[in-house]
Amino acid sequence: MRNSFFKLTVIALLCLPVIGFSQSEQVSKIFDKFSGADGFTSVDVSAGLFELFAEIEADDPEFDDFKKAIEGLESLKLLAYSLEDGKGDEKTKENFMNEINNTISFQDFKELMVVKDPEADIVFYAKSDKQIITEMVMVVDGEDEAVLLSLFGDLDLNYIAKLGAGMNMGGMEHLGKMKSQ
Amino acid sequence: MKTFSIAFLFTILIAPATLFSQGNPLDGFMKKYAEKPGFYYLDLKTNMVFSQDLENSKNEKKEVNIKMLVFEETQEINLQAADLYQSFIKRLDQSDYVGLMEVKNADENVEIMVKKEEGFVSEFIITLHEDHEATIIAATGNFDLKDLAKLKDFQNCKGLQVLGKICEE
Repeated sequence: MRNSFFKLTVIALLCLPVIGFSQSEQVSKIFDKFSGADGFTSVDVSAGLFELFAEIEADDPEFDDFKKAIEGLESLKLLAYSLEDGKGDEKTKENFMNEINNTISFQDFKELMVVKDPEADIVFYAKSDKQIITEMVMVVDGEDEAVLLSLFGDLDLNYIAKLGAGMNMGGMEHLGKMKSQ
Repeated sequence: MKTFSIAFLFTILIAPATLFSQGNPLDGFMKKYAEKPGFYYLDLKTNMVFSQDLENSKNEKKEVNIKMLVFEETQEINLQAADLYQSFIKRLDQSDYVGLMEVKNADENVEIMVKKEEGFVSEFIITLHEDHEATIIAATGNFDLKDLAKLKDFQNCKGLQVLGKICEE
């Protein structure tokens, strides 16, 4: 009995990083497929950048909130497709959305919030380990854009919405629509 | 889209940096091409920037060193922007640099990396690679974004409009 338990524990421990890595791989797979393609903009931010931001001292409450948002953040990936200025086409956007829905295992996430407005449907998903949010995905299906945002790390939902205002990147503004639960 | 990338670059430059040493291999790379046709080279020397903190009535001397190499393909020179970019990347000892961010679209690719020494950032390297143009910016010194914002006087210089935009952001 004890031996079986030990084996199961070892197997479970071995599986954990694989499961975690596979989530990251799913997002990376989508990035690899669309990054650099016509109409797409990708942003890949590593933990090193957030560490640098954390070192900055500024007497600014907004920046303090931004710093709290990036505390524990290990990776940010943003992939946006735009139809603005007649550059993109509906079919590519549809392919992109299908790829997102078919590649990412959303059943492993908790749906945090759905925002529907005349311009876009926005869904926020999160995965947690105990009480800590370890991954968040935002999917935007808009009239003239589609956005996939993936955040990894120890995430504080109370501040994550501040990221949208703090980072001047197309697509990030939707993050501001997320409210803490 | 370029504005997007540039604006983001400036966000990054908030972080402080310290001067990198003389004889840096990147210096040699930039100077190698500085005088050649198709290239624009800028070396903003140190001690050119003075930060005046009026609120606290104190003058602070800041050192900023910005080196910028811009290459635009022309018929006069048998070199492609992609080759120059690859040549530059090969020069970097990858074990010394940490990639901070990459912004990519169909037209351009922006990468930002830093070199850290003894816990401090000693170099900011920004590369902007387009189909027929490549830009390399190395920012070093004792500065932060607020200091860079004071470089607005240089906005009329080719390449430095970029800097101006970043500072405004």
